[in-house]
Amino acid sequence: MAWLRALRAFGHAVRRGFQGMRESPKVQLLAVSTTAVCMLLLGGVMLVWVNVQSVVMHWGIDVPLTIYLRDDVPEEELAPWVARLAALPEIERIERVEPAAAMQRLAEGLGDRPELLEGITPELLPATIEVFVAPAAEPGFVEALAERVLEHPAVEDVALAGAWADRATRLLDTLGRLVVGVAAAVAFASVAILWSTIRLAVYARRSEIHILRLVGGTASFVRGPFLVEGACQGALGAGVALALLHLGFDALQPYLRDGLAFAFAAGSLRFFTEPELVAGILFGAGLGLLGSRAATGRYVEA
Amino acid sequence: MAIVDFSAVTMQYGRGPAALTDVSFAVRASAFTLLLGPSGAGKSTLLKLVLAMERPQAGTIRVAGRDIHRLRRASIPYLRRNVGAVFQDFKLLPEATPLENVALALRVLGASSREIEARAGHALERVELDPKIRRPSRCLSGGEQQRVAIARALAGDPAILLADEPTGNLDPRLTLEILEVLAAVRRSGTTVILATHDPHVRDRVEFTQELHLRGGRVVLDTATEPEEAVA
Repeated sequence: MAWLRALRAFGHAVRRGFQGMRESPKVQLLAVSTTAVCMLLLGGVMLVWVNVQSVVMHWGIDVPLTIYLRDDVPEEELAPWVARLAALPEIERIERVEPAAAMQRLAEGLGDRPELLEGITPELLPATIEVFVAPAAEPGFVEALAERVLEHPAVEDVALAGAWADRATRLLDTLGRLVVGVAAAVAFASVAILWSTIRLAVYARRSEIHILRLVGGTASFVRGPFLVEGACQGALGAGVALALLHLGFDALQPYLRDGLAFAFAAGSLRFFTEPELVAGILFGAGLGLLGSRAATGRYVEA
Repeated sequence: MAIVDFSAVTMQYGRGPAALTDVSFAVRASAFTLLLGPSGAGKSTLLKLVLAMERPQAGTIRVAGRDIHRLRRASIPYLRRNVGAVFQDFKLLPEATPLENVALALRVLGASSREIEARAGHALERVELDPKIRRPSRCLSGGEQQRVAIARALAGDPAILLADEPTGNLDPRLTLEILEVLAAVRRSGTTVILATHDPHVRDRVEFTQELHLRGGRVVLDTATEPEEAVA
């Protein structure tokens, strides 16, 4: 059965890959540690990025226009107007935030200081509409819209994120581009490191490769153990980097909270989530696969 | 029916002189073909062509019914599973036991662990070696190492066994032993092509066809012409 043979070939690749790693522990250590250094750089920049994003969201900078509604407006009057607003081509989307949801947001924002909300009930907060503008909207659109919206009888007040928010958004964009640049550089460096270590392994096991080709080993069968080795090195490198980053984050977090309390309000300073950590390790494994695939090249083919 | 068929084959490495020129011959199934010629005559090149390790510049080669020229790169491993090969330098993993060396040929076939142990053991017994030997192959004698190599080549039950100077590193007693093993392989129905520079081998083994190569050309093929005519 073909699937059973494929499964056995996979088992062989895993066994031989791990055996290969045990045979050259120093090379493995070098590969994993240098990959970890690269990943640490990327992880650090990404962590700054996700936290700046978090701060921006916390401050509401990402919402260009917030409309505060009067309490006494009936829903049948409000709903058609909101629908017309949402249908404008310049508007990407709008979100209605009811007082209860606003209260919850406020509580989350204050984190471990709930005493500040004592005596405040949701009824005291106004219902709002958050307007997200399409990137293609003309400059000045938000201000013009705010003026028009303010004339509507259902509207109590409007709040514009303002020019400083634009600057913050641009900073975020720049940081995002920096992350992409660092990710590309780190990916290239990691692939190069893993390529060279796998190339060493290929050279060390050239007799075995020659024999496997001679007895009818397919390219994927011969290459399999090297792919496993490369993927493990990449994943381990990423894992070590994330562990170090977590240690550093835990150590710095109290100082950052105290020193930058204004920016990093409780709940907005965060480490990577579990899915992000898994994605990071998979990213490392992927780079390892790329490096080992390039290192084995046509050398393993018949 | 021919299991190996060369027709007007010419092979050249880079810009050097032709290693083989206009070589034509056929080897019948279950034959024992002796490929004789001095060093540089083109014997190893000819065997490499059978294994599809090289491609000829001209001519056609058919091995076990397959046209080597039309073979895709990805299909070459499947051809090699049908063509076992042994060499002067054994090409064994020195730190692996005989059983582990033979097992390699079965692993590529996707055999189960139990099947690998049984078939590798049987292949070693076929060449009169104890499958229970736990020593690394480098600790075996030259004759034993060559037997391991033959067992590995036979483990997958190939139709053809190529032997490139298999006795080149062995003393006369071990040479005789290996030739006897190859004769037994042929008696079991496997086609054997033995390449050697040693003309005395022809007196020590029972062969069915003699092919002489000189300067990359076939100068004698006993399957198509009587030996006396060429001499």
